[in-house]
Amino acid sequence: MTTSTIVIPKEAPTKSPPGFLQLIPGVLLLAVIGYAGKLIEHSVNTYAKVHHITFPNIEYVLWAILIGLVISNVLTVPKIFEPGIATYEFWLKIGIVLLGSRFVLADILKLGGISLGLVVLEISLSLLLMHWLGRVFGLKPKLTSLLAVGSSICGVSAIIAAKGAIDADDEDSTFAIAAILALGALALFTFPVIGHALHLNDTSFGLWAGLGVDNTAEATATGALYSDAAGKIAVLAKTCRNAMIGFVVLAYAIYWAKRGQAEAVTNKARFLRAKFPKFVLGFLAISLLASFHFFTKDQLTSLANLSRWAFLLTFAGVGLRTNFRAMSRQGFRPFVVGALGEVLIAILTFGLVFGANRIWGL
Amino acid sequence: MANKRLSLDAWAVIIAFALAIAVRFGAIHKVPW
Repeated sequence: MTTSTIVIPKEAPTKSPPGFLQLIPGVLLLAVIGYAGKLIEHSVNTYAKVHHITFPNIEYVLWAILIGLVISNVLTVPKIFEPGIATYEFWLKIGIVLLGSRFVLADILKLGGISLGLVVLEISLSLLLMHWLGRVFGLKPKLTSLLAVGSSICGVSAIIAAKGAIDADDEDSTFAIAAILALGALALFTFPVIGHALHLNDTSFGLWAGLGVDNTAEATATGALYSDAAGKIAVLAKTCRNAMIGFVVLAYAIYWAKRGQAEAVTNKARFLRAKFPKFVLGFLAISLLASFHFFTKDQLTSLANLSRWAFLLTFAGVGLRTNFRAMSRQGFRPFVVGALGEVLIAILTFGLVFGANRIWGL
Repeated sequence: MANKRLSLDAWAVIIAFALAIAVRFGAIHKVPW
């Protein structure tokens, strides 16, 4: 049995969690914005149809994000809404677990296998790239580690996990989170435009969004903006990336512990178990049930629709928590490193998807 | 000391499963979109 020492993640400073009643205003705001997005999509499509106008179909996803962006950047969101808005990741995870019902095991084995292979390549190359950029721009090593983890695996949750494990400064993690969120927002609007310009099919685009966009909410939204099918594939690829979080954070923890700059303990298995995202297991379990015909066709449709309702709240939250003013205060150099890294990672992941398409005919 | 609070992740899985079971056994019928 191995006894090598590793780092124990330090708990984030614990604020007492908000009570149920405190969540209600923000959750209602998410629901109102999300539903408004859905109504606008419907109204625009109906208007275009009645008046025989050819108008591009703009999905509710984009409307919900845009309304959220306008509210958070033009107006000021009152504090009473904040605890509820922060639940958007909770709805995202419920949506992902329920989305598992739309994958049969054979899909997961085929596409998940391809995704997993690409994810390993993407993570390795992205980590190397971000560390190289961090050195070139003279960023603090721990900030570079956080940016590398955030851009190679899964955005904010990876940064939070890594922050505890490598004992990074609050300031560094705030920087890294802000950069990753700003770049995620940019990817949201640029990826679909590039995808359409290059005539990517749904599977290729979904894989690209899942591999190239950092934060899970933005990756899901980017895929959904392209098409429903692309959204589904983006979630699968992103879920594979999320599954790797524990291994990468563990590697960083060991690295910084060896340098005497983080706390060390002995239980690697417990570390990996604690860091493994549970919703990935939920996603697999639901798809396993769907594969063994536990649900009828109508029930599968209901589950898919429940998943869409959960995503509707998530997309409203993506817009609401993206505040460009706050991001601009975070500093220039880390943002440049993040932005350069993201562009290069987007090109790299596009190359990986292009290669996979040539080999496996996605 | 072990933290006995369930994580957000775990709650999301529990609620998603509760919804799936409710759909499977007819407590929730035909969810519209």
